[in-house]
Amino acid sequence: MVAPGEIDWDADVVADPAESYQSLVRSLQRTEGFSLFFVRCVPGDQADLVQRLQADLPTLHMQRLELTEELVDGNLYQRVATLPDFAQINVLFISGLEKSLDPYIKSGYGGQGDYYRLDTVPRVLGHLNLQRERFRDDFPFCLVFFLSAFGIKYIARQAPDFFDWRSGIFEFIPDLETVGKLTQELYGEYQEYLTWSHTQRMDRIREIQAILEEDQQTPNQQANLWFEKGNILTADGNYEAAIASYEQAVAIKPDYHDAWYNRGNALDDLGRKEEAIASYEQAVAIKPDKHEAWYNRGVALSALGRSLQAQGQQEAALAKLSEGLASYEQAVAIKPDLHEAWYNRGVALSALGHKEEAIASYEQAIEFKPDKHEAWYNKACCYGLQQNIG
Amino acid sequence: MTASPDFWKKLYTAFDPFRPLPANDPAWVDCTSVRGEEDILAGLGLEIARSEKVTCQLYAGHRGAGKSTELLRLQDDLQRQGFQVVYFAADDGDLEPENTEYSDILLACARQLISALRSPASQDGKFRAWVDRLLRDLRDLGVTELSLDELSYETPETPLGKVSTTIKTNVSKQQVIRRQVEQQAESLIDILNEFIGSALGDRQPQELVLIVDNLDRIIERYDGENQQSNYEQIFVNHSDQLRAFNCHVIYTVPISLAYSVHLTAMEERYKPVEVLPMIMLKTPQGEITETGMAKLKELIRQRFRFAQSGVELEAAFETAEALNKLCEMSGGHVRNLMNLMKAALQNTRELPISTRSVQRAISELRDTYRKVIDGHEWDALVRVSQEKLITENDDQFRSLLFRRCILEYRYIDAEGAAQVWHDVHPLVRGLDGFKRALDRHERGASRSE
Repeated sequence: MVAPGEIDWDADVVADPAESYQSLVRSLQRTEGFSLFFVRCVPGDQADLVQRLQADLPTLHMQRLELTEELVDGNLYQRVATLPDFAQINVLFISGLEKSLDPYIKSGYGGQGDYYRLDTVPRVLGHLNLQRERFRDDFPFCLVFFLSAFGIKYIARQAPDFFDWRSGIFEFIPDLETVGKLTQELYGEYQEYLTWSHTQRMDRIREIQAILEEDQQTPNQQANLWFEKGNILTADGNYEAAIASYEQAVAIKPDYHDAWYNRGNALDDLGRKEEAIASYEQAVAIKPDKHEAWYNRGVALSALGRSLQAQGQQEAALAKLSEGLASYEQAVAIKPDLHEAWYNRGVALSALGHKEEAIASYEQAIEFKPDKHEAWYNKACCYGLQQNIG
Repeated sequence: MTASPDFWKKLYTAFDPFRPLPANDPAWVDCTSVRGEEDILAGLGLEIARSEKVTCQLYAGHRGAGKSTELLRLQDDLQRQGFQVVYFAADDGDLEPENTEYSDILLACARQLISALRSPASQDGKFRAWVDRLLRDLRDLGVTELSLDELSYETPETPLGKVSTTIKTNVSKQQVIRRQVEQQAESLIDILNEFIGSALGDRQPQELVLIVDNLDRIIERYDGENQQSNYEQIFVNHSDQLRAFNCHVIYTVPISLAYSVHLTAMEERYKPVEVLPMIMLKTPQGEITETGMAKLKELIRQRFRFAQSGVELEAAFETAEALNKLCEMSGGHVRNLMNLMKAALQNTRELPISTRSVQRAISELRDTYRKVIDGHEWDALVRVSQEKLITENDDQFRSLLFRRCILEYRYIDAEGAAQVWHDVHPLVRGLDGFKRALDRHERGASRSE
């Protein structure tokens, strides 16, 4: 226990941004030769910070090295050593190192990325860890790394020896409002993600990861970001990782029915039908009128039924088909013009031997989509089976 | 008093965390008594001096504890005794950054030995022949990236360097080349030993010492659950080759390897790993020891002197408590002490250093520990803080040692025996996760009483 008037040395004191800025200025001022600094701030604030520092320290020659893409060879040393006016530099600001970090961060403990995976080290960090003597001996100036909270954490864990040589770490933590705004900017449309390149998707995931771990992040926004990340990974065809992301989202916000629904779709894409069905059921338990979930649940159940049928397990197959049928009925009860559901309902009824009702269901499908030729065809087949041709 | 910019530059630079002290540096402080009498000259050094045969020893310690400083001291001491010492710090010119393997180390050692001992021309041909054979075999295996014609034989180590470079740059052929180097390792070591013999002339192989620093820089990785780590693959599976050089060798290894079940099973091969412990500033019962505190202050005081600041240590801090806490929060870890001092100085416009500046420095460093601890590790940390011991061979503890969340201390007990104990880093105690886990643990303990 700490008595009144005594200092609790186990408690943190938080520096305000003005204090942190002054400490950074003093560090640059007092450094002679090599030193390493890590500055945590959001990308939008970097240019302002550099401008301000340059204005306050006019005698120092400052330069920026902005890494706009992944360093394929992982060799940052080389990039710095070959800068055009290398000899004049007093302070070099380096940003964009995150682009060379592994975007495939597995979901880890406590909703954080599992940076300490022991099977991989991003190449750039492996190099940095071994290059630190060469940095010290060959770069007689201040190197200031601009990084997100995520980037600093990554380096602290996976280039610990390089990180250990820092002369200072300065944090400019964005406020609630800024974090909210930056988070909003990362919400996107799935259809658009589909048109992106793999690199674009990975870049966006890194941006999401960076803002996800900001101190002022709210749980609600965090859940939304995990959901976005899941959607981007789905668009990229990485269903396993997408599922893990959706799971993070529902861990934070258990009633996030869109996340349950999308998780179901990703599971379904991997052929994990039972798990997909359970996930759709979570979605409709939260939002009973979510007809897409009822419909997809029906599709997954029908698929299960058919594969059981193929294995000769008639009884189990019929049970699944009936459940599927009920699921389609839920869907059309909510959204009567859902022709796919009417059509699939028809298929299910037909498989269960209810030809009359199947025909009626195909007719409903045709009513909402007159050019639905499969429905016309199946309807004809039913008549054929009933010997009602002509 | 307003200090000059030059004063600040000198003082600030004196606490740079990235310069091991050269041997005989006046800023060096003898901490043997507070490191449980661990002294590299008496340990590794005496073993080399007394041994009739060549030795192979492993040296471990927490990152930033002062290993390189100590190894440079050892080099100096051995040289004074008449030994020839080849010291090299492996870097990314030697090691593949993502997955270092034994062959990388072999090639690096060979290269360093050759260039340090200056090749007598008669031996060059043998290294050349070895490389030629390697390349022929590799060509047969479909590796055409290394061609004989392109190799320059300016110095005999150049082709070996080329092989290392190709391993690093040619990811697809990396494994093939490595397997081949490993297959031919024995003959390379033979040539190397012959070379050492002729380079030494009349002197004995026991008069040559190779110190390989920085091998603890390789990032530990596991290829799967319950698999050996890359370190174990190197130091356990290749122990014969690592010990085969005809000279004394010291390899640095990470502290986590000292607690590897695979390695401790090999004690007849390596002597027990020599570990450089933290400066002990508290007893296992948690009482501050004046001797340890005095050493930490001495470390700071020497740097104030080095900076010719004319400032007395006690006068540099607003309160004695601030200085004491700064020392205490380092956990007896030298680089952390430097980190804290450096941060306290940059938070300070004019001396003395205020209490708030020290508090900020402590909070900043504490935050770096927050960044490396995962949510499931708090209970293990609480256990260490209470039992003051780690469970040997447990990967979780080894990993926490590696990340310095758990520190190793050593003292000599009343019977004269060395006692090793562990504690969580003092900064960990201030983290919310730790406080919550401790609280849970204590409530659980009182309920069961």
